[in-house]
Amino acid sequence: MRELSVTAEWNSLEPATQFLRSAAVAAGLPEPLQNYVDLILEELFVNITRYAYPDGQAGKVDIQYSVPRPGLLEIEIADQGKYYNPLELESPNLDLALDDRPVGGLGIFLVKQYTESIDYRRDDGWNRVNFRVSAESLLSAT
Amino acid sequence: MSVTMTNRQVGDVTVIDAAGRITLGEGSSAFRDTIKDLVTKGDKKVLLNLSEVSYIDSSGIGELVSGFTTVSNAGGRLKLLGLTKRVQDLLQITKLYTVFEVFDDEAAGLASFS
Repeated sequence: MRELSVTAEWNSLEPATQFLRSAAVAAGLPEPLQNYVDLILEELFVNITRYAYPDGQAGKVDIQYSVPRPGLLEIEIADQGKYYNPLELESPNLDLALDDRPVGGLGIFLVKQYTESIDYRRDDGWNRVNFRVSAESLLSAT
Repeated sequence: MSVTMTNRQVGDVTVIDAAGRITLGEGSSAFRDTIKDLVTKGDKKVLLNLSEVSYIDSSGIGELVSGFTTVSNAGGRLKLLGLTKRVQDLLQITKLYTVFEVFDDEAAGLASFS
């Protein structure tokens, strides 16, 4: 298990991305698939920077990963912000005409598509999102 | 690296060569500003070349949709050129691939406006 703790701000996305890129390499994910780990992280991380902490409060984001077997990553992204379960968000209606589609709302949908499994729990003041990413899950989604 | 947008005129079609990352923040706002400028100038035929776009997130996808509707509402057409596999994957998974007109070849994209 490896861990990284960063401040919940936009500038922290780059070190967090580098951290999970090293995770993807450690898991042996093929390079073309590593970009999708970037995407999952970014979508979850940006939500935390936007919504978790009150303006001006420098909260933190903890990221952990492990490699249970080659080709499989288990990742947890946690924050101490207000309760926020991204999995409760309503799925976007992808059958709407372009004119009727809202600009936002696709991020968590994409995260769900590219993860093998994902769950949320509120744990002693922490929002903890755990997910698994595997070569198989990414290949089946791409 | 954020996105860079370079416009060139080919006949009556404006080709936007985008390169870099279209993501939340600077990347997507640069794209939005470029589209608004074109519409303000009255450009109605827009071919967006994404062949050098290495990364796009949900915000970037949203901006593509917004750009499409902005140009359409002004009576124009926005079409896509040269999708990388990543962008193509995202458009397919969000059911947008068949909504946009997409071309692999610039000449074919340009000809489609006539």
